[in-house]
Amino acid sequence: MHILSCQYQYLQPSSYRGTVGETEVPVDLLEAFDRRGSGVVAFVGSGPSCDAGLPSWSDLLHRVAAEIGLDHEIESPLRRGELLAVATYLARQRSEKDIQERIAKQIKRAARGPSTIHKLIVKLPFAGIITTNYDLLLTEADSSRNFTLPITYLNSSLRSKFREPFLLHLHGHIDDPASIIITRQGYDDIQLKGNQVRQFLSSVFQARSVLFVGFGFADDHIDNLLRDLQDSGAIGESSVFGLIPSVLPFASDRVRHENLRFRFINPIYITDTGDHGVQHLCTWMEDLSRTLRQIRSSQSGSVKSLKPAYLINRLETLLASEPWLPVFAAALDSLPDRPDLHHLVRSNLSRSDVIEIIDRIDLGEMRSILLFMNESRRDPLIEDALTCFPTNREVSGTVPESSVLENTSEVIDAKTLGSRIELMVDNQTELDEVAERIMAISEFQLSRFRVAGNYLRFDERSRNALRDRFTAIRNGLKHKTTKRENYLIWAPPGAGKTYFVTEIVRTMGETFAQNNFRMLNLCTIEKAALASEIDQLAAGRASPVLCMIDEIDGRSTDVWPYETLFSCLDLNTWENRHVVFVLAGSGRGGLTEMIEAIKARPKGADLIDRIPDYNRFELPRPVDEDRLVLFAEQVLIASRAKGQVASEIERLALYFVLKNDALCTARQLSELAKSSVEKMTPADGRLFYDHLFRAGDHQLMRFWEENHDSAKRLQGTFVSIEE
Amino acid sequence: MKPRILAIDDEEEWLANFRAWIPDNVATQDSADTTIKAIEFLRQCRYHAVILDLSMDVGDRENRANHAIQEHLATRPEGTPYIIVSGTIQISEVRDSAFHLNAYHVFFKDEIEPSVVRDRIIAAISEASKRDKDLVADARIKLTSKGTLEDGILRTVRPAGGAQGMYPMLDAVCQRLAPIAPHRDRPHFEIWKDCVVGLVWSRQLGFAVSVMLTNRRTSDKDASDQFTDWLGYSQQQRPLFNRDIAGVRVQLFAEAAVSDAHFELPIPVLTT
Repeated sequence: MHILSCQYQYLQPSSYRGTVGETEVPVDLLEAFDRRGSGVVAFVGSGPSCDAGLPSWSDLLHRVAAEIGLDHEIESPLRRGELLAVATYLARQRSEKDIQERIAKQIKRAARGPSTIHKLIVKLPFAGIITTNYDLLLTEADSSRNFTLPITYLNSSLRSKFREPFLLHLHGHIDDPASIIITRQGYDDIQLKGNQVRQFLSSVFQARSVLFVGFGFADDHIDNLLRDLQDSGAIGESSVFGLIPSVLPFASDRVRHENLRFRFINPIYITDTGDHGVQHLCTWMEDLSRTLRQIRSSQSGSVKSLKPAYLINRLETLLASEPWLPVFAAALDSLPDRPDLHHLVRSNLSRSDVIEIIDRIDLGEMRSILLFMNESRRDPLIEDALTCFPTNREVSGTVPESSVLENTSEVIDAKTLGSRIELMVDNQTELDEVAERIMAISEFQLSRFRVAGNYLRFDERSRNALRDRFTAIRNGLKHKTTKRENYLIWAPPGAGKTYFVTEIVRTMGETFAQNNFRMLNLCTIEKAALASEIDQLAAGRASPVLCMIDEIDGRSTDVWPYETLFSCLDLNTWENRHVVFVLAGSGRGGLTEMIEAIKARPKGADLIDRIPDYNRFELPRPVDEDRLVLFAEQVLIASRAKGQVASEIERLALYFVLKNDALCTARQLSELAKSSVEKMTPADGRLFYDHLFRAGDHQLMRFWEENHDSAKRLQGTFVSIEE
Repeated sequence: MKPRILAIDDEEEWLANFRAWIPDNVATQDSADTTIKAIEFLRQCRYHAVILDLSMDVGDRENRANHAIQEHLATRPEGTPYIIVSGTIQISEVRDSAFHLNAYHVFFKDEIEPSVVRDRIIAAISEASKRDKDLVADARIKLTSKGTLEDGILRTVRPAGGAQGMYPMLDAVCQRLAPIAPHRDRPHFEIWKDCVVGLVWSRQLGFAVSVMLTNRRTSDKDASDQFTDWLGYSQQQRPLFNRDIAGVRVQLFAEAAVSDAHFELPIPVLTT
């Protein structure tokens, strides 16, 4: 897209680009769209509605006249273009209300949905829209609700709408047939008596720039309005623009051009290839949309705002230096979707412009500039600077090429893009290591981390080692051997020993879990009860039993535990008994130390001797990511139990999980997940950081404040979770 | 890791003495005759020992000129011991102050013996060298983002022998670079198309180094193009290190033009 700085250039043949996507955007219009600019109001004529298949005003009058049997009488005046006279005649023949209602019905009947132009208009960041159309296709196209609900001249608080992104139907609309203006008197009411409307329009033309879209400039009423506004000084020399379809060469229609300029309208000529310029209009608006998006995102994620001062100073010195300034200008001129910068280049870039430009370009654009300059002439200083602008598909200087129609809203788009860039850059500059790791995670596909059942491990080696253990224990239960199928597990408290075993049991089926699983805790069971349990196992059936004895290193001062236990570890060697023992403990510093401690106790050595050496193992220590995986899994489980499906977790919540040392055990994480899921909003699959805390919990804010930089970046971004 | 020492003294005569007393076969020696130069050296390099003249100013009767450096060295960063050389006559005060601040040894210039200096330096180097292995291990942890990048590295460069081939390859890199500091705008290591690439500050070498690991099956041209794409410019110099390890082409390039200001080094950039 190219840019023009002064309206008189419009007729210069060299200013025109006949190809699609090359039509100029006046710099004044572009600047008005800028956040710091005045804002632009679209004045939409009948063009977009005709493109959507709605009848023209003339067709509409003909159809209404046919309905009431007056079509023959109005044919001649219609042919002469006396539309207002025909409408007034019809209203007198029946009643104004009747004709208004018939017009509304005709439009509703013919409406097939908004055209591409409608959709493009509502996606552009206009400060408001004024339309002379009765249809509501702009509102229908505005699915993102970028604009307020349609208002008409009858709206009593028109003035208060000025600051909002309003959508004004100047001649009424079909949802309020009484507002539809069809007679001379109606137009006069607006123009002469309707002080409110006149003041509103005057404010719009005075305070905003105006872009006419799909407007033929053949409407006497609007012509009069423009003349009034011009006379009252409300229209500036370069604040009103009109998109004018024109057959090439544009310069040939000097009469029309002068007429438009006489009314202070700056024409932007759109090539008409027999389609009333629709194709080129759409392209022009898409280009404008992309350009505005790029400019906004570059401003919100500018190099100056994201990089340290020392680097900005270096860049400024480098780019403004004598040999580099012209190359910098050429590099700027090569940036896509930056007609604002191209304009600066054309108006002779000076040294003083450099720092302003650094404030207007994003990281991807800076990289492109440096690459361009380095290609022109390799220089160590450029290459040094280049290392600070790494290539990244996400941070590329250009906005994705997708059609504007696929995006949600112009404003939201720019914000999202800005924050994404901000996030990514801050990720590289300010985030701490934990936050960096969390930023690197985009999703948790839990099935990838599954060891067995719901038991997960992030680390691949740990996962595979545990899978082997899982398979061995399970095989011991599935196939009767006469070997001792006894296991000894060590893991720190809360690391998930019990969970590991219960998940094995769960995979054996519900019946097995109910009838064939014994869970004993040496610290809580009494001697008699333990003896009784063992007697039952010894006297029991031949069907497989898994017996877990937790806290096997507990009761260190009692003599009886191992005396009672050790002999039953031989049960599986009996022909008619099938018992797999899993002994688990978490004392001492590790497996070896625990074994030594057990051996030192009465009958401890005998107990250990009955556990094959290769069946003694430690549960690998969880890595930080295990906590995240476990937390995500528990969130999924808890949400399912609640009848809800959790699909995303805010990164800030995961950051809290990793930074909080109290959340280092599976048990704590499970509790946190359950209480958090309870606070999730029904029908919203996102679990937010706030859900981790009770109402009024000061930790919420304290943690935020203590980790402000990282928290700010991680907030509002999510990691998706799925099975 | 070849030992490297730093001598800090404002008198060139003494710096020349240290160079003469401690031969190159004992350690590579850097000399700083100003506090600013000393800080720059300490910022950019890891030293196995530092010889520190506390007083860099004739009017500095209290031996405070290099106090900031002394406080930094008192923490034994990366296991670096420091040896004080002092010209002061207030011997006991210096000695107390020095040992309070974790000095490895104190010499007084008027009673200094070259052979003793050399022996003490050798002992200090030996002390610091005990940390070498830890620093290499730490570099590996950093390069692999605490191991989370290991899978990615394995999948990308497919070393022969899998993980068993990968660790020697990574250690070969780390032994030549450690200790390392990350670039503020880039991760230590990154998977980039068919390569594993990185740009780090080597405190062993004292300059920035770019790293490229590629499988031998990737053509030289493709690897070079991808590296250029990632770095933003093509490598024109010969690599510092270029070897095939476990079927992986390991290349290290000196990035002499890249400023230390972009790296997270232990001492901030001096702003004057």
